Amino acid sequence: MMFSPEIVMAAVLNGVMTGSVYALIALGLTLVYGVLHIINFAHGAMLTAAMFAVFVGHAVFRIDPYAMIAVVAPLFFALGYALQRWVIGPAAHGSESNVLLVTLGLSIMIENALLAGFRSDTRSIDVPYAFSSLDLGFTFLSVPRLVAFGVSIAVAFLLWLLLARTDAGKAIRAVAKEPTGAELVGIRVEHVFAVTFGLGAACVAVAACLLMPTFYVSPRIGNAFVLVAFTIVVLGGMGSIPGAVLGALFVGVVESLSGLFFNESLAQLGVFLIFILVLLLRPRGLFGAKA
Amino acid sequence: MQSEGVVAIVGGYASAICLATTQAAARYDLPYVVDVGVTDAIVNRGLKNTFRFGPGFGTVTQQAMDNLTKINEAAGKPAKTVMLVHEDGLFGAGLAKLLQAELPKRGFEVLDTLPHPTPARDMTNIALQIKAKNPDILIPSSYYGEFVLLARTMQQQKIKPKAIYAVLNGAASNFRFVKEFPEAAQFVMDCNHWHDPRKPAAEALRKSLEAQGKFWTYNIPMNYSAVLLLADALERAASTDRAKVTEALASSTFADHLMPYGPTKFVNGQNTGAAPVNTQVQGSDIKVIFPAEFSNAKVVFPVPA
Repeated sequence: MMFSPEIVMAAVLNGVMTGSVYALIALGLTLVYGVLHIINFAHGAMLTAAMFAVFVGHAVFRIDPYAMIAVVAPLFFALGYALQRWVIGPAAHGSESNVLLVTLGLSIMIENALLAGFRSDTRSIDVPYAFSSLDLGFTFLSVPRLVAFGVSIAVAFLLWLLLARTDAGKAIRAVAKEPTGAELVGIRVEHVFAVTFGLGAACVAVAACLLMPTFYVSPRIGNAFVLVAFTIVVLGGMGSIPGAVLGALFVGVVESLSGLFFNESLAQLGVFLIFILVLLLRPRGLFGAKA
Repeated sequence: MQSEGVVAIVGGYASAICLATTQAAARYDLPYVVDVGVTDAIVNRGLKNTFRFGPGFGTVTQQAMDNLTKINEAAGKPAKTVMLVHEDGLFGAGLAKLLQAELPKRGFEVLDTLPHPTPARDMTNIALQIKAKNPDILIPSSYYGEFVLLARTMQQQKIKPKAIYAVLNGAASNFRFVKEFPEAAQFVMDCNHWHDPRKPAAEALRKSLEAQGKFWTYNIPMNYSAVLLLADALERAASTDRAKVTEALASSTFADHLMPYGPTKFVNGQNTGAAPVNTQVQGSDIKVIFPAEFSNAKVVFPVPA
């Protein structure tokens, strides 16, 4: 099927916007994998929990979802820190496969707690700027999605700066490379693990704030985003920050275009085709370090 | 429930639940009144204990297309083209397939059919395609979250078809949607279950519910009526014997319900008097606009630009 260039351009732009939010979610996942070498199955549930936090902040306290970044990002950092330090870490007993099950169990617990608390209803918030858009001639670009794009890229840049330029970042990188060696030089590995997990949680919290002005929340919605985030992490290279960002933008565009040319139900087709190709041809991902 | 000596069940609420629970109840010859559950398989399996008070999928879709044709004709046939957007599960895909086959017979050209997954993360592409094809009428068959997302995206992309005409839609006759997104919801039509707005008992129930700060949904009068129907059968059976209650239900002519149906008459477990109505969001209310004998407002079609 042929489409006019305007629609294709609009779809690409739309893919970049969607991809930027995927990037934020994938960043948390890739960071945790890169340092702790665990796949956090509770990532989606944490995203959902953060979205509900934003929803409650708006519905009860009338706080703007963007202003909620200042509340939920530190809150989820603390939650993530506590979870890793006092729940996931101790329960792992040194085995990485245990962690997998612990995070899976956590995700089930969080989802069901949300289901019990909020029921399975779909909820959304209405903010005055939800429908404001820029007229680009060929399409209307949604302002909230543009904000989401800007904030996502900024957060990714800050995260990169943190890792590359600060002592804390150096410690995180040291632990990622060689935990035993890091411990020998006096780095508190448990603390660094927990900080990393906290950072991952803070990333999804920011993503939740960016999603809520235009999206909806229900107790299982996080999984819709996390599956695609897993793909992005593998595509970009497990543990790579630029990989996660570029991978996410790429996946966003591929998904948008395959949605347009096949149909929305088959939009994932293109994404998973790439996923399989990457696994076959370049298993360490586009930016991944050699194993 | 068997061991507790339950006499009858009212409920289900969703097709899949109704299918499983009616079958389980049939094993104990336990009379079962289905309140909401549109899959026609509920009554097509020949279960003697199962009575569906509301209309099924076949009746609703048939009625939906008849009503759409009549509304269009009454307005001087301004609409010729239709686009279908549907969720890709059993409900949406089944409905879309049926509409695709039936609409051309009624003089509508189906420009395109766009499926989407549930949950969908983004509806912009679908909105863009609607914009490009510019159909007169959009028929969405999606669940609540996706339809709200689509309606909001359409508002953002400034897409205004002559009508949004939903069939059994999760959002189009939901007050939560109307209250939270009044602009996106304005003039959206739905062919669905709804109470009879001219019945004082129905309006009184609605007022008492809204006084408690709750949203009115069609499930409430449906369930309420189903309970009344069973109560009537119990009184006529004058017994807690399940066979007698089943018999009383089968011969029911109960008319004192809250729905826009005639007297109840079960044929093979289906209430043949049951029918859907067309609703339209007008202002902050959901009005019944069709058929005329049950309506409490006039249809706004085509929607003012």
